[in-house]
Amino acid sequence: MFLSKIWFILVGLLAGIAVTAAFVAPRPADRRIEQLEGQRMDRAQYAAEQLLKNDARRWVDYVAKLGTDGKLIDALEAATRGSSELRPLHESVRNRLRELVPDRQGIGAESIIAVDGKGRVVARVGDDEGEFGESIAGAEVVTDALRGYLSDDVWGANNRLRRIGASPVLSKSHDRIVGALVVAVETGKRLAEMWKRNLGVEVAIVLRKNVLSSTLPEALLTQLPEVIEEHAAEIASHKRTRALPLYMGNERLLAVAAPFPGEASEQRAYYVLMTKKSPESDPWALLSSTSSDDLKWGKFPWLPLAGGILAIIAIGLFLQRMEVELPLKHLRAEVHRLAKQELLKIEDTKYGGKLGGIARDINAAIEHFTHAPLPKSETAKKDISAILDPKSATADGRSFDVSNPPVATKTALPPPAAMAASLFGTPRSAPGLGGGPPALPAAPPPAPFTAPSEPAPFFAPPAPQHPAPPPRPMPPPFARPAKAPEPTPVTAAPTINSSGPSGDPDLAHFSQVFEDYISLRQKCGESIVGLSLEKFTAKLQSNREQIVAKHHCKSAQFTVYEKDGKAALRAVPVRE
Amino acid sequence: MTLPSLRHTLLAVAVLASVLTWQRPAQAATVKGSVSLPAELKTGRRFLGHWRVENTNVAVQHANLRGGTVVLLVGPQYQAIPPKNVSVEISGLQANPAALVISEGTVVEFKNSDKVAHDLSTPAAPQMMAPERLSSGAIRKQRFATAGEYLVRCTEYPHIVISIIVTSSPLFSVVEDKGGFKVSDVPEGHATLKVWSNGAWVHEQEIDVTAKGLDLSVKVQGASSAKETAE
Repeated sequence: MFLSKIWFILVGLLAGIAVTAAFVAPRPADRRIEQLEGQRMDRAQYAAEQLLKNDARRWVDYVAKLGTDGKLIDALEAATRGSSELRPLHESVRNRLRELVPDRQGIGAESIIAVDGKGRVVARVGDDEGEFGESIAGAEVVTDALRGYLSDDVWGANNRLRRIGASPVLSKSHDRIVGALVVAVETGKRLAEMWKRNLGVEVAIVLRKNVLSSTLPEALLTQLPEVIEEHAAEIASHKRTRALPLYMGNERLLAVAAPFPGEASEQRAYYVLMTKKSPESDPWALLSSTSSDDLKWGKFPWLPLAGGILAIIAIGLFLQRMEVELPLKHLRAEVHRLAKQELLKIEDTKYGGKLGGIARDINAAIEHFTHAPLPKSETAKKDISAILDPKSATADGRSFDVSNPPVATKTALPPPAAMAASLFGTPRSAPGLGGGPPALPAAPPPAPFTAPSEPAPFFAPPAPQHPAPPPRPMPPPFARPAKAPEPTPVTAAPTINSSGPSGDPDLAHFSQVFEDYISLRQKCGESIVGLSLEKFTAKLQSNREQIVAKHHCKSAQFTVYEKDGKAALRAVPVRE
Repeated sequence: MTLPSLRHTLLAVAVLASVLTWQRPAQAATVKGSVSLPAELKTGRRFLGHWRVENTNVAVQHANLRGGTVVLLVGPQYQAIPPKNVSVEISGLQANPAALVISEGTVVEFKNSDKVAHDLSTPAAPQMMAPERLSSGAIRKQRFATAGEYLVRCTEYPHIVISIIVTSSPLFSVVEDKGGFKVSDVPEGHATLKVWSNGAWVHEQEIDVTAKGLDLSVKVQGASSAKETAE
């Protein structure tokens, strides 16, 4: 399973790389998006600055044009000369301004102030319309206007931000300055909304750490003034900040702050352009933001992806089959063949890894099994030598009779003869020649089986008993030839008892076989003590019945032959 | 010796001793001249907006510097002048005078003659003058006990800046609108001439004051010209 393991490791590594890439790959894209968003904010700030500048010029030109009105010129000139009372001039100028600017609020002008050549307020429309006479000559934009400049400024007094445009009012002869007109323009909600429409960004206006107005809920912008103050040095040097990340609740914003020009710059007045930052592209966010359009055939590489996945699965299954299933199948087949006695053992060298270990374990178990003593009853059941063994004949009534008491029992008793476990069948399943569970004394260990064959050796010569149990005979498929010691000679002669079952057509055959067997045993120098025709015949009858039952034959013929210098019996089924 | 003769003798000895021990003081001279400010310091505009264009009909008038430029001589010995009360009036959204040279311990009285309130303070030295609202018609007195230069600013109207130079030296002169200045009773010897304008020291030069005095033409270099000189 080496290749399978390697494959699984490779697949795991591939999956790890894929997951890592899924988490890491969006980062550069995020940085790129943030960079692009920052550039967008830069352009928006530049555009806002241009809008401010154009707007300032527009208002300066507006009041310059207003200053060409004859009635205003006359009134301001009179106020400058001081030739008449100021109040009538104030009312005259105020009314004239109302006539000239009927939709003051509509155009965004908060107030328009007319000053004489000394800087005194002659009249104003909008804020504090009733007040006049005070000097505002010290205001730089007013001073400039009275000197001859058209200029603009931004004021941040009284917690209000106003853009100021001022223009001198020249005499009708255009040879002197008789006054000035100053317009104050709303710089708050209206401006923010206009910029939001034109620039497509959120806008906030900040004055002295206070958010004056915003297109976003001001409650969300509590941290904005602090963030801007932290970048005051950057603003002073670059006239703007870079794109700053702002976190407001769940919202992530990108903000650029820039100062208003004029006096307001000294008052920490800033406009802030903000845009919602793209969400961070973690894999889940990316998945949640995909659309069905992204998964269309033409856009998504379904075929390569499916092919890749199928290839991975196929390779994994192939390796699994090659390294696991096929060896397992072969092992199972071998075990089956082993069970069918077609094999002596499993060729464990064919199998690697754990399957090889299993095969070796099976072989070891077989080895252990074939060398371990069988249960006593089983041993006795298989021990057909009891037929010939005079010592075992006295065990119980089901045993063979022994005509001559085993005198030799006082001497060294011969071990049970080795035999095949059964004439036809597995050693353990086939009953012994005696039929039924034999009650033979099981003290002596079993002798080795003889390998079964058809015809198979029926009897093995009795083996001498050893003090230590001899190796257990192998099961028939892999029986090892028993090498029993020479039998101990017995003094008792075999008894031919003719009191066997009568009426059996094979009695003569059994008798002949018995005689042949006795003579061959004598010829081979084997003991014949305790052998009797009756027991011999009964045993042969019993075996005949088993053979007939098993092979569905008519009868069985027994022959005597010599095997390894010992007498043995062979049974042959007779089918006709 | 008679008593009158002894008296005359002692008088004569005293006169002789005083004559012998008397050291003639350095001769006082006058340092005068004119200060020429660069364009950026005499624009009359501290905070510019987007636009500042001249009208096409009437020539633009010169800016009124409002006494915001001061010449100070540093180095010669002087007799410290005692503190005295000084008043600054804020009217028409401008302070008058815009620059003060006062001795240590002087109390400056700020009077708001505008219709609007002014929040005055010294942002660079908050311990000297904390922010305080000066409503219309109100007066605020502030004692300047430590030598140095202070800028009193209005939070609401940043263009209102009052320069206060605290020194016990009498060797200073507030520059006129046309640039002229005159410092009298300057001891002979080496001195350093410093020019204060628009809230900062903008010029410094070494001078040797002679008995005849000096007539100087002080040309203050602007940021752009100073850069060119350095290059």
